[in-house]
Amino acid sequence: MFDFSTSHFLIPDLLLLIFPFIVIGSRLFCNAQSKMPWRIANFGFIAIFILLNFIPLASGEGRFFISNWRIDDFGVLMREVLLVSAILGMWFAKDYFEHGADGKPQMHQIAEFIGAIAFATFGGVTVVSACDMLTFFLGLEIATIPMYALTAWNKKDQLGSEAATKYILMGSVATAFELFGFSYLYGFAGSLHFSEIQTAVASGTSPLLWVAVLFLFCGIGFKLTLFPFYTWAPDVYEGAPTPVTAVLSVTSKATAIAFLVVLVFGPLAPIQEQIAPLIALLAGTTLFVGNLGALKQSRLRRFMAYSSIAQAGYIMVALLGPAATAKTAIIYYLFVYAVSNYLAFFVFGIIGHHREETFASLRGLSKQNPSLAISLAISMFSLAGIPPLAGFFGKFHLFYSGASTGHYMLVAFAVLNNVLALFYYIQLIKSAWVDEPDGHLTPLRLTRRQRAVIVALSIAVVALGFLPFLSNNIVAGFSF
Amino acid sequence: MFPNLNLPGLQLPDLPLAFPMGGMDIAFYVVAAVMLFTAICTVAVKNILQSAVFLIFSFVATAILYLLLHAEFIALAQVMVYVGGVVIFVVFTILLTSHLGEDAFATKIPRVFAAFALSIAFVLVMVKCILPTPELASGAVSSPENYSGLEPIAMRLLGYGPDGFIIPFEVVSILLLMTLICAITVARKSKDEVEKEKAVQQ
Repeated sequence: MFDFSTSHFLIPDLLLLIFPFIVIGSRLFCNAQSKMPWRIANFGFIAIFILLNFIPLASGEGRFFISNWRIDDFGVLMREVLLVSAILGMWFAKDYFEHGADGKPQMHQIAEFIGAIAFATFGGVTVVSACDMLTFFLGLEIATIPMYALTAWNKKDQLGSEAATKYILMGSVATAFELFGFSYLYGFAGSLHFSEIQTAVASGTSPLLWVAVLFLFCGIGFKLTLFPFYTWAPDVYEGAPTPVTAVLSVTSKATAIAFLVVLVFGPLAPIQEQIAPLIALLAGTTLFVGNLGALKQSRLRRFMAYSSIAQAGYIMVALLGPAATAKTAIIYYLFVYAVSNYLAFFVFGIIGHHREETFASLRGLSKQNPSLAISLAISMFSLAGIPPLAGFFGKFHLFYSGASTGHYMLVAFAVLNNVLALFYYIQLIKSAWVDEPDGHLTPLRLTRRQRAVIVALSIAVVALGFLPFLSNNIVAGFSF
Repeated sequence: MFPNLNLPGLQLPDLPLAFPMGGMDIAFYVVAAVMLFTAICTVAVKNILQSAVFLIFSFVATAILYLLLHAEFIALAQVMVYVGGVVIFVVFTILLTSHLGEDAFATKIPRVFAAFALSIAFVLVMVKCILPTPELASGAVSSPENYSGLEPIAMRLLGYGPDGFIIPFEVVSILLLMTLICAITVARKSKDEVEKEKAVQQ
């Protein structure tokens, strides 16, 4: 093994930073059909992911670089989640640059597309590394702005442009809310640094602090699609190109939840108990509304939008617990959620190649391509939380974290809601397994990459349930 | 708060509100009133061009407010970035987009009422939250002299120490560059689109 000392922990971040420029720049030196940018992107992302696995986990404050760039356990594992999401998103997107799908034309400029995903990933990394509010806020913006552009990536698609416009407008309002909240937090604490804010918060509260908390939760509520602020999500998920929807539902959501974790267990840690009712209210309403919305959908991406709204509610439940339990549960669930969600999207992508992305297109899937139908069932059961799949253990940890501080009512409500969720996830499985196809089915074609990824993800969803340590830092040991 | 005010009937000292005592306070209230008035005009006038002009005045008033608080750098940045850049850009956009400036916005009464009620409620909540904070009501400058002058800001902005801001500074540059790349990619025309346009022109 090569020497990977403390000062080298910054290497993955720096690589991730220059990586998009290399990918985009490589386009200048080769012609439009060249596979060079794609190969560089693959190599780069995977290399960064492997390097991240060499960073040993050690509990405590984390290590500081340039005084204000913190790399701690939560940060390292979040980086891994974000990179897994970026790699899978990139693999998923590749086919959409080769042919049109779901009635939309082919996309162009894959190098810039990958660059934008890498930037969004770096934004998430910035959020988990920040030690002051300014960096924190900028990180969230870096994670969001590429998403606006990615939503409108398919220029020939009117719906995409409309969705992007809506997304930008909503996102800007959310950003304004957040900045307003930050300004009040600064006014309350008199400092931008998290440690000093924490000291100020611990020494007593004032109405200014509550205004700040309210606005911060409003702002992040937009990005995490929490209850009163979720209305943009179904339209944007529906209008965006399918791979962007997949990235949006994992990377963007992971960044937003990381933001909340850093906030609630960092500067606001002394008042976590006081803001628990707010979190519980947001979590309860969000998962209920998400589940209700998903019941009546017929378009697959709209369905996934409501499903991901509900998942955001489930993740919020964990925020009520003590710091270590909550962070563990959230990281583990994000891994599981990313893997299950991408598995579903890969199956939808293959179906959407020649058909529309609706429930009706799934009919007869079990007869036409049983292995694909099995993969779909695995991902849906995992999202619904059926043992022994990964989703069950993920949800178990989330609920355990919420229950360990005595929020039994909310946990009971979430579990009951899970039954509701099971109903619509099973509806989708029913379309694929029970319903007879009407008329002639266009044949499904799988590329080698798609087949490999689907098999790998299916195994991962099953295996993560049995072997949760697989999501831990493999090389450095299992000291979570 | 009211050292020279001993009127028997007047009982105000519960509120930490200081009536304009010196030139600074009077200047603050005048500028704040102008700012509020122009801000309301910005959203109230029906012509969008007039609205933009009022926005300029509002921004200039904000800049004066910064100057009153001894924040020269932010005041200059406010004038340069917002007045000089953003609003002029908005005005250009309005003027170049035909007919956009001429239409009056039609709004429905219930919506206006709801917005009005919400704004009033918001103002009330904010007033209730801010009033108990005594530091905000007194005009005393708590930071040391020249704290937000050009040189100290520059030294901290590029500082590597615990209170330096080199990381956000660099991250902003990444943010801007990334936005530029994304915007160009989405906005630029592909080759066949350009050819099509040429064919149409011929």
